[in-house]
Amino acid sequence: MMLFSTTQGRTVVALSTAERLGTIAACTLAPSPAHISALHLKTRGRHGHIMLWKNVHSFGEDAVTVRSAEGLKPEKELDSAEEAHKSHDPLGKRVLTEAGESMGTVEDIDFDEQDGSLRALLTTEGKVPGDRLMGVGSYAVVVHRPG
Amino acid sequence: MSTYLRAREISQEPVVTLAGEDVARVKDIVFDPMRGSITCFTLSGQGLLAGPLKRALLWKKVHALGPDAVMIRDEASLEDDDEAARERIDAPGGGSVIGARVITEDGTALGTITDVIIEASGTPRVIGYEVGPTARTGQTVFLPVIKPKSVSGEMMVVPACTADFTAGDPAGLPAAAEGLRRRLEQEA
Repeated sequence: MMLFSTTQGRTVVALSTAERLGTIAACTLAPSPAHISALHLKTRGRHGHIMLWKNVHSFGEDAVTVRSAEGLKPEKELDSAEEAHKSHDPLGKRVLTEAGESMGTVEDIDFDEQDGSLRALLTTEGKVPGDRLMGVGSYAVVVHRPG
Repeated sequence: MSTYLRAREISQEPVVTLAGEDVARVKDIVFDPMRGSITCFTLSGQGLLAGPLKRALLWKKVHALGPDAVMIRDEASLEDDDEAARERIDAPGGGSVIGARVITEDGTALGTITDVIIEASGTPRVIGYEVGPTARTGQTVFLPVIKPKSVSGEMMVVPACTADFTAGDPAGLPAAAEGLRRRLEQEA
């Protein structure tokens, strides 16, 4: 079990240049199969940057290593409709089933640090298995109905 | 398990895509009072764009109607040209029956409709009405309506025996409706 909350603040290092790129601030998710699509980094300066998960080399205990700084993209260059846009950050967001029922809000994310797959969403009303994720929008996290 | 929704609760519900974006808010529910089926939702805009949205959501485009949101597949589900919806809204009683008086065929007033009760499991349908107190009854009751005789913007005429099948809460409506259905069959 790896909770996203425990990784916030972890340093992200570029392997090619041994540079410290920033620290983990947030993430965005993508469905089918459910996984972390991008990490949002707190970087120097006013605006943050995003790093797509596919650029992650290793999710270590003390630092997250990425191949190079090239994958770093300024957050402000993203359109709000893009999946990796910050408005799609699942933490604190309301959860709705596809049937239109509220299921609380997302408190934490349990993910696999090897491949970024989403194991579960931890909500105020319980655990939702990752494979039930349908989408994360600016308004809500939508999940398949149980059973 | 059945979920009962009130029309008043559904209005103001957000319309949310399966991707989690809220694209509009429900303004009114348009239904066919003669059949009890929902035809469409009229919409209003969001936030800064609040105000009537010149788009409607036809029932067949709805993914699910829930207690907290109306779910749609994507934004393309909203009708750009709401001509079809407009026609139905203008049909008698289509826009709103809230405020209409319920009268039996033999001329007894049962009260004024204060809300519409919708059963949301499966294909949602109107299973009855919340009817405000009349001088005679003195309390709010829930009336099952299977087949009204006629509907206009100001009045709904129901079979005389409807008055014998009232419920104290929305959950009692299915049983009341079943009783009424049997009685109507006997009388037919």
